[in-house]
This record gives sequence, C-alpha cells and structure tokens, in this order.
Amino acid sequence: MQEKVYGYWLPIDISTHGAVVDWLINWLHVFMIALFLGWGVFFVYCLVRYRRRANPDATYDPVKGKVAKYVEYGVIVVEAALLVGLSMPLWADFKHAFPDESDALVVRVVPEQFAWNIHYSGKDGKFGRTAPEYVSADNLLGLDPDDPDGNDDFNSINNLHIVKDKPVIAHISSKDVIHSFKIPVMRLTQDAIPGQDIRIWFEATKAGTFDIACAQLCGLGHYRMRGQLTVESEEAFQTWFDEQSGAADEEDEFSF
Amino acid sequence: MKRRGLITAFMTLGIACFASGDVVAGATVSGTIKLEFPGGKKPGRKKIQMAADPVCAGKHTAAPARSEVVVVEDDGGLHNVFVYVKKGLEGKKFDAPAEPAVLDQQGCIYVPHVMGVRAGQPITVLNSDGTLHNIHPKPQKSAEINKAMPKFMKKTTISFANAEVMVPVKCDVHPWMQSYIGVMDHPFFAVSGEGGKFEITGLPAGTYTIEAWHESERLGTMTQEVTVADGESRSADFMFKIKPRKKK
Repeated sequence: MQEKVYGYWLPIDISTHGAVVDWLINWLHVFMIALFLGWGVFFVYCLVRYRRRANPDATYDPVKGKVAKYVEYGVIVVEAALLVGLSMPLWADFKHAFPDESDALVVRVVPEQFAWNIHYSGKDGKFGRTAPEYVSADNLLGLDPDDPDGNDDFNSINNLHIVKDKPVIAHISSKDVIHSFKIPVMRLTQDAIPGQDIRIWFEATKAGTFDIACAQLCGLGHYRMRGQLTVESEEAFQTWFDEQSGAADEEDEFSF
Repeated sequence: MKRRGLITAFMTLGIACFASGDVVAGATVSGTIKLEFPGGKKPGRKKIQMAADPVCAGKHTAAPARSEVVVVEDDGGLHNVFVYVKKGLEGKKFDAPAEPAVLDQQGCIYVPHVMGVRAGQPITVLNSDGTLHNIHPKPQKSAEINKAMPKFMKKTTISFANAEVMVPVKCDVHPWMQSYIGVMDHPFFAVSGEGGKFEITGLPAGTYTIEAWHESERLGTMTQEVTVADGESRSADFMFKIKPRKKK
C-alpha cells in the first residue's frame, strides 16, 4: 500500500530536487509568519497609540527612529537570503543543470482542453514531426504521417509513465490555451504555453501512482483536467512502453 | 463559370416558383458512395487508445476501438458520408419535426458518427457509458453548446437554430471523441450506411445540386446535378478519391 499522499501540510515528496523546494517553502512560511506577527502587533499598537480621541490632529511627518530602520534592514536581509541563498541555487540547478538526453527518458507534454497528451518517441527513440495541420480526432498530436520517425510514436492520454530513479526530460507545449503542468508530489509546476517548447526535468525516487493537475485556469473543464503519474521499475516500464509502441506501429493503418 | 452560376440561379428560381404550393408524390434520389483505395489497398482504421478513462477502456476489452474517420467496406462502400440537397430548394419552407433525433455516447464514441437533423429540431443526447462526458458542438451559425454530462445524467437535449454543414461535435473529456451533425432547413438529406448506400425520398420535382460531404479534408466534398420529375427515381453515385495532403 502506498503511504498517504496528502496530509495537513505539503504532500509527500518523491523527487530528487523536492527537499530544497520544501525547505524554501517552509522557511518562507516561517519568515512570513514572523512578518505577519510583527506587522499585526504594530497595527494594534497604532490603533491604541494614535487613537482619534487623543490625537485630534493628523501628523504628516514621517517617523524617525532606529527601530524602524533596523526592521526595514532586517526584512531586506531576510528577503535577500531567501532569494540568493535558497531560490537562486535551486533555480540554477533546475533550469541549467540538465541531465544528458541519452541518460534520461524524454517525453513531450502537449495539453489541450481538457486532457494531457503525453507523446512518447516509441522504440526508435525519435519523435516524429508534428504540425497543427495534421491534428484530427485520430491524430491528436498532429504527427506528420509521412515522417517515418513518427510511425511508432504513441500518445498516452492522461497517463505519464516514468522510471524510478531515472531522470525525465519533458518538453512542455500546448495545443490551445495556457495550461500548467503540475505534479504536486514532484514539486513541479511549469506553464504550458502554445507555440513554445519549454524544457523541464525531474527525477522520481519512489514508485507508485500520483496525480497530475492543471495549475492554470484553462476553461470550463479545468477542474477535471487530471492525469496520472505512474512511477515504476525499469522492467515494468519497458513492458508497457513496448506494448504501446508496438500497437502504434501497425502496418495497414492509414492516416487521413 | 459566372454565366453558368447565373443560369443555375435563374433555373432554380423558376423551379421554386413553379413547384411551390402543390404537394405530389415525391421523387427519390439514391446511390452508392465509394472510395478508391490508395494503391489498391483498403485503408486500415487506427486504434483508439482509451486508457485515459478506465470506464471507456473497459468497454472495448474484446477488440480495440478504432477510428471512425474513414469507415470503408471491402468493395469500397464508404460510410458516414453526408448527402444533401445543396441547391434547388430556395424559397421553400419545411416545418421541423418535433420528435427528437438521437445522439448516443456509447463506449466513449459518438453513435452515430455523422447525422443530419433539422434546424430547430430537438436532439436527445444520451450518456450510455456511466462516465463523465462533456458534449461540445461548435457551430458557426448557431449558439455554441457546451454541456457536462456526469455519469448519473443519462439524457439531455440540445438543438441548433440555423442550418449549417457541418457542425463538429467534440467531447471535452475524451479528446478522441468526434462527430459531425448536418443541420438542415429541409428534410432532404441522408448519411451513407451499409454498402455506402444512401437514399433521399419525397423530393419535389426539380433540378437539384446534391452534395456528398466527407469529414476528411483529403476526401472533401463532391457535387452532382440531378433533375427529377414527380414520382421518379434517379441515381447519383459518388466515387471519392484521396487527394494529396495539403502542405502548409
């Protein structure tokens, strides 16, 4: 049995880079709570200290004092620490230190209203060319029928299968409007923007099935635009992959 | 070309004036629609992967669901071609029937794949699957419809106000689901079925342009002109060829 995914705080983390994200989120909350409490106390103090009965005339002079200055410096230091100390290293690692495509599983994620098309390259490891003019009800990805690379490509609608402990590189795009590819347990959110190919990578450390959600209001069916992430062993993945790829590569099929 | 168009227009106008009023035994136009096989080989139908919804996948365990874009028989008989009178009925009024047409969602496929209805005629949409569907027809000339049908909702009713060939219908839950509805302001239309056969009955005498419409851009539309007298039967066969794909 799988452990409980969602509790009172963050969902479980099954990604290699998730610990840093969680650290960032937790520290952000600690600092924000401190700020909130500070401002709250100051607000109540002002309500009493500057009540109208005791102060019939407004004062327009700014407050001059050491405390105010130090508090402001303190806030700047904390924000700089969050940004430079936590966010930037994480972002640099996540956006620039990509694993090699040959060591990773490469997929294309092409959402549409209201489903996730997950494009796998098939056994040949090569993605077929896609273009909007080929898109139809039986060619949701718009694969070019004349491109042999696309023959064994397959579209796994709403089902992303990946291998445990192997990096995944996903090319995120969109067929219609802006969607956002979100895997909560993977601490991953990336907007899917039509006309753009945005590369992200992630690696799962735990097997199981988890949710994929759309994190950008994309229309009436946004709430049910849900996918499933399956993290499995190399063998289980290969069995599934070969089955799908073989089914896609059928001789007599004709593309209209 | 221009002159021919003008002549046709005058002819149809004349016929319309002449034929309006009296109701007599109608004429029949029937025929067979065939597809010329590319390279002499019957085109296979693509499999549809329905793993995205286990309820859908569960309805096709015996054999995989297949694409309905081109359904063709061994002898070339082509299904799902919408055949209708495109020209020749101008100025005539036909009351829309009150009894509804039926569009079913069965095994996460629209049944029928292509259908014709009358403008203003109610269409009963059934959900036989016990899963969430969302019917989303996108007409250009009538109001757009976008209705969620949760698994407990077995039935809903839609209609289109104005004539249009064709209204594409999509399901917003299952992206492979697609169907087409021809909305007509007269009752002279048919959809090719078994053997690629169709039949349009009850036509008033006159000269008509009959159009055969297929959803694939590579098959497109074909037209024929047919002149019928009262009670007469005429045949109009169509042979579709697969055109080269448009490169953009």
